[in-house]
Amino acid sequence: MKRSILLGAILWLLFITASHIQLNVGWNKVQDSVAQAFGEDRDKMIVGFLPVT
Amino acid sequence: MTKHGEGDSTFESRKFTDWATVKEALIGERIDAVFILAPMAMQLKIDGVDVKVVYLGHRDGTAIVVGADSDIRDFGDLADKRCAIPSRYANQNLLMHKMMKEWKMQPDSIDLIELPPPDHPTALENGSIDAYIVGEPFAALAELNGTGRVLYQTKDIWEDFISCVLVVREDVINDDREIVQELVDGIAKSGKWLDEGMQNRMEAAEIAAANYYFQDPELLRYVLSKPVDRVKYTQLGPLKGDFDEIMELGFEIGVLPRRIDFEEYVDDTFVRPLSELDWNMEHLAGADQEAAAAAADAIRKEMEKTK
Repeated sequence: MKRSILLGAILWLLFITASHIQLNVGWNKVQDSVAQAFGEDRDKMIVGFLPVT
Repeated sequence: MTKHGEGDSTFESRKFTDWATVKEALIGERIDAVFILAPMAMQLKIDGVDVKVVYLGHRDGTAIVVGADSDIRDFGDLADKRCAIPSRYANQNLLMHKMMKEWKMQPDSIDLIELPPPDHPTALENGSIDAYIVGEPFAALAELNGTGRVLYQTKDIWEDFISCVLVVREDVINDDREIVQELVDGIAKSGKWLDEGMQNRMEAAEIAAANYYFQDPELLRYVLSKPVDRVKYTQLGPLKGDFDEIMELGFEIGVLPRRIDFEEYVDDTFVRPLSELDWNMEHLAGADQEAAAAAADAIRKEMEKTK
């Protein structure tokens, strides 16, 4: 019983984390953050603009 | 969203339609950098957002436009009229107040209304405003449609006018200076290339119209050639004198709550002399070179005629 509750909690946590990344963060950003945390140089920048000159 | 880059890095551009969303995206770290209004960059810093201005997007490229048949002939005629501005944080707003001061008009003598830039030409056409001040291509749009007339180009009333500046998050500057330098160099090199010849401008008009602005290429060709110094893409390093003038004006009219030192919100260490930069490129990929050459030739002939 305890084991199934623990397993359910872990699965629920994984589901919520994955949903949060998918809906709010973006997998690319997570991938970049992990790479930078391990000392890799950033190789991408996102630059915003408004179409006024 | 588009991707482009000359070196190893990738730069993704993300189009926004209003300034509020741009600000949120920057604070939420969904973007690393953005072309933003100069006074808004100062306000962001005052609000505690860790960003720095590292370069300019362009100089000039703004106009005050009135109706084609309007009886407004000079700035004084704008008294008691309704004039659209892109945002209270826009340098265009500051320019209107600067001009009112120079013309000895009261600060509220022109009814300034905030409108998103794409709505300016339509509002002028349907009579809900009498004039507007905005960055290109929306000034040229009314001219080309025959519904508007340029009263002043900013280059004639505020030399080397600054509108948009490149702002980068400070954590990106601190952690990855190389990629910021690559971005600034890329803008500088493309600006130098643009200002080198009319054919380059015509090629850029075609590519930008199709991939970024989603506008008629004819409109962008017009913006980049009539007159040729309507928008300038060199001298883009941020200068203290220019920014102090903007900041003082912003503080004076209450757009900025306090004065802010240049060093607090500007990092000009990425600016390199243009002579050190070369873009190893003759033409833009995908551009119709023959059409661009023909358009450039037609403009040259037209300029010779008007001499």
